Amino acid sequence: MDQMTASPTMPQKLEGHKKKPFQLTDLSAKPVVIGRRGLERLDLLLLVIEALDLNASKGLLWTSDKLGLQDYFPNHVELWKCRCHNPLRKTARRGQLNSMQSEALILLISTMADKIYPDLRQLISSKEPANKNQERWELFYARLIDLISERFNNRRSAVKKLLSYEYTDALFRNLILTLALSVGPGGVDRLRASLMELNY
Amino acid sequence: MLRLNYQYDRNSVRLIIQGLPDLSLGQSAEQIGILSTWKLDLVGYPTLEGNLEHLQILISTITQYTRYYLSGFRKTFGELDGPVQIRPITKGHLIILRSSKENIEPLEVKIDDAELVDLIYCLDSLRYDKRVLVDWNIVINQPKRLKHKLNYFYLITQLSSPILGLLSLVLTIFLFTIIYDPKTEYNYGPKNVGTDKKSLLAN
Repeated sequence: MDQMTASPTMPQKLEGHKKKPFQLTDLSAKPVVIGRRGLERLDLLLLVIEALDLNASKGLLWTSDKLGLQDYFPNHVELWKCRCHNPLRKTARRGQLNSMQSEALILLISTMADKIYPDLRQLISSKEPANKNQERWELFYARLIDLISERFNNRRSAVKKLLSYEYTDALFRNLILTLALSVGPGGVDRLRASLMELNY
Repeated sequence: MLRLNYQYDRNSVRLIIQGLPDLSLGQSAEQIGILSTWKLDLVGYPTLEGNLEHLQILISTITQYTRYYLSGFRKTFGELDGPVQIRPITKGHLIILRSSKENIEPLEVKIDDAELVDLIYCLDSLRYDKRVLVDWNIVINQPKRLKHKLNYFYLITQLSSPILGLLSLVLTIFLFTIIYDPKTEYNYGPKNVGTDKKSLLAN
């Protein structure tokens, strides 16, 4: 009996990307253009990863190297520049990410979500002890709110809304669920489709 | 010929498929082209089994549901009397599985978000497994104008304020038109028929 320990397609992609540069045709046939709301969402997902994994900033770069995305994210600065397309940032950049950068970022998020999957699962599982789960959520809220208030433009009403509790609760749960559903071989396609939907 | 078994695990879910390579299509000994049976184990529920058609419907229904669920859209998927139906419930999701055999009650499986993620992971792993050459016949993961096409609640919430405003304006105008004003002279009958002096004298 053949026991499957990891996704059947992802490792093959990773191995393939070690030598050759990342190609758009590897993931999606159509060019990916993510709109303003999609860029906000992408950056928030990366912040969620950072909130759950304290070493995520380094982990993102390592994973990027492993996936063969060095051309897009060779260092922290380039990754930061991509994330600054989020209009809610303190130092926001005008314009949109190009198709390749968007694909690379989506692949990076999906792979990172796979790494932190145990944490994500604990948060969304209803079978965990309630008080323990409450503690985890509170810790996660605190970290994410810290990260948002540190990096986003707090004078903007959209950011103030992000930080208001009644809105935050539903949004943060949705972000966690999005990351959990982005895991696995079909996760990249699902995440891409959901981000592109925000364009409409 | 050896029967092949492939297993896909993820925390609370285990999917096992059995099949054979389709040698007439030149498939290798490690590939499954003819799927004979499958078994799905969800923690806390009896093992589910079925044929290829059932698995295709299960994958199609769950995958589409998950895709829409990710976009924040809650809707029932699967036909009312079909073998698989899934719908959102208060804290999780309800999968209703109907057997093709007679006199067997439908099985209701309640899962939470974590178990849904495990299940979709296993189904995705099977779908994307290059050793399994079965046509799943699913068109999914295409971005759609979900909110505008399908989410009527979204439309209602967006349009409720202008519609209410317009209705209240129309109602106010209507009320003003029917209120009795004592200063206005109302002549309901034919004008001056037999009431003025001239006509009276003429009579």
